[in-house]
Amino acid sequence: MLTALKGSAFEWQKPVLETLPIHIKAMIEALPNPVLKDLEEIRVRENRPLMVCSRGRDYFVNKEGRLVQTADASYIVTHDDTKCILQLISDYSIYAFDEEIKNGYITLKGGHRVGMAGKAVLENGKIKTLNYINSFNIRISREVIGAADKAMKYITCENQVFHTLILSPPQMGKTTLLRDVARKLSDGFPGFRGVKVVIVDERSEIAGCFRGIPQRQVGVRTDVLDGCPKALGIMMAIRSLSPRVIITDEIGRPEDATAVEEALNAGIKIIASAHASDLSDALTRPFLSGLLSKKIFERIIVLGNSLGVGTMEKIYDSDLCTRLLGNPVR
Amino acid sequence: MYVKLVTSSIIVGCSTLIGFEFAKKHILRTRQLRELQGALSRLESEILHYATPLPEALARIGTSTGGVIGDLFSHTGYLLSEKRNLLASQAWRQSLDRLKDRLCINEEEYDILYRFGDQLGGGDKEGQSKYIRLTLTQLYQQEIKAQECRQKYERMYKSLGLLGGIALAVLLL
Repeated sequence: MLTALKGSAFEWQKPVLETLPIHIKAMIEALPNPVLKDLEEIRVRENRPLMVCSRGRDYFVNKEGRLVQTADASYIVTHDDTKCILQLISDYSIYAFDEEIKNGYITLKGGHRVGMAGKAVLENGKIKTLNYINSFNIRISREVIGAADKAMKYITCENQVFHTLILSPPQMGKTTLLRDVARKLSDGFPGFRGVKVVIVDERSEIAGCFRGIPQRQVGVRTDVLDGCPKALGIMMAIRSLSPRVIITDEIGRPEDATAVEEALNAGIKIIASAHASDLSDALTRPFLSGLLSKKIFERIIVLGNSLGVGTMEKIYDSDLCTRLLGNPVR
Repeated sequence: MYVKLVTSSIIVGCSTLIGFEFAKKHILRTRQLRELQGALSRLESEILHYATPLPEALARIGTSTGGVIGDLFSHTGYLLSEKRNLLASQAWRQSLDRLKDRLCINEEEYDILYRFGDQLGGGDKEGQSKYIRLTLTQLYQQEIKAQECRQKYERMYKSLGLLGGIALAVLLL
């Protein structure tokens, strides 16, 4: 069960609400308790209704913080609101977040991420920065200690770790699972001595680093290369951090495959995730099918939500035929 | 006779002090404009080279600058770090307004500073640097004007105070 929350279910509130203008903060705080408890996203779009996402569906919010049925009855976000949010999420220092803005998100203390949309400014065909930022997706990150408890027996065998690929559609808990796998491998658990782990956290999602310090429990033997491109990070880790396991998310570029193979040759185990709804979907993607056909990964875990977010639907062996899991497990 | 001498000394003394007080405003204006330029140059360096968060950069510059200009930066930094729902421009404006009694700059210079505040913390490194440089140029021009005024009026106010006092003393006594 993915239930053992660290601290209170509302521990996200302080860092998240600090980024909102005082009146929007009051609206969010006034939301009905069940919605607030499972809040996933706060959507702020200039000149459009304030919305929140909770338990897999979205709601309009009015001035009093009540959920309403229509956009007309809801609070309409102003230009001043978005201007204020941009300053607050960057601690009044947009200049210090050039790279993050270029990538379209800023990570808050606590590992929560604020995605941004605006007008892209291009230079030599690449995004130089975002201008007129007018839309924010404040995504609340929740740490689920114990999320990997049931996965560990498939990922490890005695003191060995298998090369593992986690396949999942978005918002199905793959980052949560990766984070807890990192913690368990790093700290160790009955029957497994902790090993050195490096997390290559290109999008600051796994460890939720704030100014380089992990805000999530990622284990005592874990080093985090925060904001580092995966392929570069894997090579850096191999050279200088002597890990037994490298954990990274959302592999999908050709250079990632090269780096993964490099790690393999160095005797380092890789645990990675990729976007795919299931194995057949992954096999239709040139990059993933290439990796899978090389039988690099010894375990392929497919996540879904048949029993709720974070359900392990299927676990395959490297030959992609042997199913190690009889029924979905959560 | 003795009373007359004491009274006229008091009149001359007071009048001279008033003259010095008027002259002091010109001296302080020049000094504050120079300090502002120094502080803004440091802010540019904190932004460009160290990407220091604005509240921290302002507090640091405030401490090292001292005086009323230091207070302007420190107080803005304090407002940004404590009262999280102000825009940087609002915090800067509030600090300027709060220190109006101690600042010796004129309306034109206030406008320059307000305009600078409107852009504070609101752009990338390049943009912030550009605004700081523009403000520095404008403040430098104001400093030249202030120096001219100082040369013109400092001695005049001081002499006027002294001579006015003597004249008053002669007339009254």
